[in-house]
Amino acid sequence: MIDFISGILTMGYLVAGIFFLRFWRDTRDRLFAMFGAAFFILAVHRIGLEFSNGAPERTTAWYFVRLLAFLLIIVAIVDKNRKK
Amino acid sequence: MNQPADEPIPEIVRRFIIDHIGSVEALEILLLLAAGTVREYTAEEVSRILCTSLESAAARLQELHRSKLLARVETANSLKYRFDPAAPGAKVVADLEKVYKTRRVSVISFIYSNPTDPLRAFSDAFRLRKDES
Amino acid sequence: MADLIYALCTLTSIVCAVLLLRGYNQSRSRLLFWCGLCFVGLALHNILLIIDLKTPNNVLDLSHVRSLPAVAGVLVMIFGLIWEKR
Repeated sequence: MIDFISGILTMGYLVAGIFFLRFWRDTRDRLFAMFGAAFFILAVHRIGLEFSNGAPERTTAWYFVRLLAFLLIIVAIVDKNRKK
Repeated sequence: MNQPADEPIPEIVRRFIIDHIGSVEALEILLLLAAGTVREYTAEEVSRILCTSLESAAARLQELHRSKLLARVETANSLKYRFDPAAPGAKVVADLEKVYKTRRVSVISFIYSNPTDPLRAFSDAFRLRKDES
Repeated sequence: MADLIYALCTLTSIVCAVLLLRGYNQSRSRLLFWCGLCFVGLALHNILLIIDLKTPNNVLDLSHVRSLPAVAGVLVMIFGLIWEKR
């Protein structure tokens, strides 16, 4: 059951990432590129958890990957608000 | 000359405004450059002619350039913009100018009333200070 | 360390959710509503993760349910991305 949910989530992140990449293509707005990358990283995070032999999330260093995704989102927001 | 008050702005002009024009300033800048056809303008010149701030003139010029309506020429010490007649929306600009001349108020209210482009709305949602537009 | 990271993730998700839902309020652009819900889901996911971390497994084990808000959020956002006009 967990694997099933995890699989859906991974796919969901990937699809979302692709949509954001497309928005970036259409608007050339960096924010979308960074959101897209963040969702791709969340997908990678899911995949990584899957292949670390089901070790509980608290003990794997994969949470740094999760952090990276959210840091990217923070960077995107900060970048959007910087005076050009 | 009597303009029927409820004659709608032509659909093609509406579409153009929705897709490319976010403010009256952008509209005036576009029309200014389109009138000059091959003449190149810097942001300073534009801000001087239209009496707007340099910052917002530069921002609008960049927006219009991103919309592919203006071509950008980078010289050693400045950025110049000129109208690109080959741009996909360029033909509509002539109609837009005509409509703006005869129905100025309607065009202005349309610019500020039309439903925002969802992607622009998404992007703008992350602006913490709402005074920049 | 993990706590800090998940807390930051939660905070970021909440900020995104708030900004998007506020943006939806102002622009009535439905796309923002669906995306805002996604970040609500992500925030809940991270909160459940933190709770799960803090409580020993025999007291409370959320491992089967903590991803569900994220799944719901992402699916709802994908619906919005496909359904809404761009």
